[in-house]
Amino acid sequence: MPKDGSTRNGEGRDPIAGERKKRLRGNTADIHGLVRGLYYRVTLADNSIRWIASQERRQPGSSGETRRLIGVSPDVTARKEMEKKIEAAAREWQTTFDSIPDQVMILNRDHRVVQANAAARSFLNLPLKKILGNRCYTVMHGKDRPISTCPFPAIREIKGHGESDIYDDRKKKWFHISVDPVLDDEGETIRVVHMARDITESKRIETETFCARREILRTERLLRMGELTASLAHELNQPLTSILSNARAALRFIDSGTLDMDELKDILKDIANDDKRARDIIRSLRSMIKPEEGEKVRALLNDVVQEVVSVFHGETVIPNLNVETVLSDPSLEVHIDTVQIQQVVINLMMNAAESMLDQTENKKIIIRAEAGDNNKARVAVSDHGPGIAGEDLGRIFEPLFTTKRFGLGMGLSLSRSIVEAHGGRIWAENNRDKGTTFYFDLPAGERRDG
Amino acid sequence: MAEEKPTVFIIDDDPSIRKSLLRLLRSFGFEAETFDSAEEYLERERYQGTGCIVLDVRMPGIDGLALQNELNKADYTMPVIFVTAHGNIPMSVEAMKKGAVDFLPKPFDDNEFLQAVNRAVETDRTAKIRFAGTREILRRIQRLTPREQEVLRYVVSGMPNKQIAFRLGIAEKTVKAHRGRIMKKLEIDSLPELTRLAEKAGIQPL
Ligand SMILES: Nc1ncnc2c1ncn2[C@@H]1O[C@H](COP(=O)(O)OP(=O)(O)OP(=O)(O)O)[C@@H](O)[C@H]1O
Ligand SMILES: [Mg+2]
Repeated sequence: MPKDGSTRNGEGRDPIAGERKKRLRGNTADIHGLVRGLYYRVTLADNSIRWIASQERRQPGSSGETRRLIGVSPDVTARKEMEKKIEAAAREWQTTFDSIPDQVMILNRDHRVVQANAAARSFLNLPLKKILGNRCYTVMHGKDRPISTCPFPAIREIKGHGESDIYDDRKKKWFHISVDPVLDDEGETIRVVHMARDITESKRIETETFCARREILRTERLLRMGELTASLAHELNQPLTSILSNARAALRFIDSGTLDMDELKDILKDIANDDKRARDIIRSLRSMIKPEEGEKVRALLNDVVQEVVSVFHGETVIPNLNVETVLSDPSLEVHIDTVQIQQVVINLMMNAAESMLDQTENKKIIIRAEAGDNNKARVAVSDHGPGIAGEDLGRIFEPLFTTKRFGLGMGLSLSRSIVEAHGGRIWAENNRDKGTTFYFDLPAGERRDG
Repeated sequence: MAEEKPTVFIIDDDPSIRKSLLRLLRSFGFEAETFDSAEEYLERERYQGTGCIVLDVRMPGIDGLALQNELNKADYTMPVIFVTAHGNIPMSVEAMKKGAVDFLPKPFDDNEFLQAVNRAVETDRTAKIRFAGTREILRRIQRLTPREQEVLRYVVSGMPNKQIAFRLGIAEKTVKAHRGRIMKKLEIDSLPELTRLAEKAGIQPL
């Protein structure tokens, strides 16, 4: 490192005259007596390069005359390097910003766009000038106020990360939006980083996966039904064959006058027995279709519902579905076969979700668990779907009633047998605004069985 | 020998089916015996009279189709009526190919069953008669000397006596004498009859 003094002292000897490369500032105005400033590079004897900002200052006398000129030539190599770094960092930031494949916009508190990266600019197909200063919902969605599903307004207040999926019906695309506030020293939100990722394709795949899964489920159920009918047919054909043969034999014995009373008695007994056998087969088949009688336990209704909701989230892929759970009475107890009642809730949620499958907005299921009248515990599952036509309302609980292409019409009839086996009741009502609510009541409270 | 009642053998693992079918067959005027499995039926001594088998397709152990195979292998053929509570077409086709006369899906009505049993018994009767006839012919052919059997083959080929004599290097008169003895031993008196009989006995023309 050359000694600091060497340049200043060496000025008179002018070892640097030939080294003046740049005059970043030439003669400047006479501010604070600055006569001129020079900015140049010197190469020292050891070949190291230093940057010098040389200034000449006039010191005026009492009558304004130039009393003397003072020259300072400080070494500003360090500052120069810092500036270069800052410039490089700015370039780096811009390049990075522009190379993010998601659309990134930086917004102020007022929703106005302060920055937009290349992806955003090309998506909006607008030059930067037309974007900057405009409200994000105007440039993005062509709206004059923030759209309801945008997470921005919320995070401005909570000052934390927020995200959501929104559907842009102008562009017919799904976006995953994430927003992060930039806070100032006081912790106030001054900017919001708004990222939008086009997830239309993955939404489509999700929907397809959901439909495929649903179909597998149905095929399985259909197969099971097929097996059941096959075994029912086989089982029932046996006693039917015997009954018919016995009856025909008896008739022939009568016709030929060879009927023996004891034989007739025996035949009738056999017919009665085979009839009972057929009845037992039908009974056991019913219990096959109905879920098996399980063990009833005492359980907290809220726990039962909560568990289903989390299972439902894990098990089903329903695009952009929102499930809200309202649990009002934490001590509400029911005496139930948990698996069966959870099956009922799943069936109702499944139907609710399926009713909103084609919807893009407001896909919301609300599940309420609350105390009902007459010591009942009530569960309500509401959706925002199309509702149920008046003439169908009376038939939806019938076995095999369905309006769906791949529906079996088993969900509700099964649910009804379960609820009724619990001494409860299940029914449906169309909501006043939109959609349907299914309710079921179960006997609540302590049961001291004798 | 008095005309014996045909016997129907019912093989079914379901006791109430066995009992009711037995009754129905008796009301038709048939003799019937029941077996609760194919295995039990195979234990029974060979039945020589006419009859048929009513066989349940699906049974534990040896099932209907397998029993049919066993019986075919043992040359113990009797027409089989398959009854099944869940018939399917490929299965019935297979059974028919192997000589089942009928395939009745349960439940069947009495007339259907009666017709099937009648058909089966009739099939069995003609088969037995044909079989008995063939056996008799073979017995008669055994009576012929080797030379006579040789002559018989030439005769059924439609060769005139002269040619036969030439071929065998014997006198035409001798051939004539052989023919007379053949007709006598086989208990027939015309050439067409002889040809038919030879055909039944499986004697190939030269
Ligand atoms: N939340 C709902 N909104 C609108 N319609 C509904 C709703 N729930 C049920 N339904 C109607 O009731 C019918 C019967 O429903 P159910 O669950 O018994 O059978 P499914 O859903 O058609 O078939 P699956 O056996 O696969 O459940 C449905 O096809 C539909 O028409
Ligand atoms: Mg359903």
